[in-house]
Amino acid sequence: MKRELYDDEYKQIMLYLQSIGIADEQVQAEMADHLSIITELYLEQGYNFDDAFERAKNGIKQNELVDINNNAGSFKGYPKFLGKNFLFIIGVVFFSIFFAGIYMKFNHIPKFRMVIIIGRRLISFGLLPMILLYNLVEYANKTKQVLGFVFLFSAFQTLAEFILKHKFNRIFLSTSVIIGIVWMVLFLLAPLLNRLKKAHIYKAKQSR
Amino acid sequence: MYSKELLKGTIEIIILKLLSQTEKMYGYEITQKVKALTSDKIMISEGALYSSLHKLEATGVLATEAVMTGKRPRIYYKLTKSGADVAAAKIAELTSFIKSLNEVIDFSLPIS
Repeated sequence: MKRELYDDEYKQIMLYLQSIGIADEQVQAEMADHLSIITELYLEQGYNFDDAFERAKNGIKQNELVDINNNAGSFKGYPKFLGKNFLFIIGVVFFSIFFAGIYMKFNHIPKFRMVIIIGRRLISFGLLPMILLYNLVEYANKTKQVLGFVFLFSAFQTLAEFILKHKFNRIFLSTSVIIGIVWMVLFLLAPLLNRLKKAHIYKAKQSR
Repeated sequence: MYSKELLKGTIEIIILKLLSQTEKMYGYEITQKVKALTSDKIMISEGALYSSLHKLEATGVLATEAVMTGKRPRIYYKLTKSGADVAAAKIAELTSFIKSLNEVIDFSLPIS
């Protein structure tokens, strides 16, 4: 007869998953079930729970489990509103701001420099990363790639300005930092808080 | 066993094909079904399997259902309505690709 896991044995598997950072509720349940099935197969062969679980763990490497969790988070964190229509609309808006600045410059309207810089920044740090993100749907680590792109682009522009003029352009620096923070909130902190919240709810359910 | 490179582009299609034949399946069941159907020649790693399943779910091709099995939840995957069309299109594309490949590599000849 098939030997099923006892409650405390299943909890041990869950604790192992939590200890290696598997916070996503669905991934936790899936991996726990997967490991449980393999552990039960070893139990049927006469191993005790510790040995059976150890063998099950050896079958799925720890970093593979972490990758599954991270990839799932990345897929779920993908902004659903990001489509061709959305990109077209914000593209039109951002380019309109930039060209409005150019128009203001040729007509000697004050504050034209500010409007041009805002338009340029929105295109560089808003539109371009979003186009990149949209085109990276096939890749699980797109969040990292887009964030990397934004920060590198930002750092490059600020540094180039510093090398050329030997001083930090305050507008370049501040807008880069603000946009960097916005991207971090959108793609790192918000999904992280969401996962932590889910993990907290899950733990509360477990302890009941 | 086949190389990772060879399997990379086909894992999603294998999953879609299996799910188009069965109402719903869970991760471990998929790996075992593939192993059995291919006499252990195709072994899908957990990393590749679950990443593909999560991606297909995120893109709306698959839907999940949690079913209690004993005292633990089991996540089953099934095709959505639009997912069934995606599956049919991908399977047709692969079939056509294999036919074209057959014109380049004559599969009827013995492997030297």
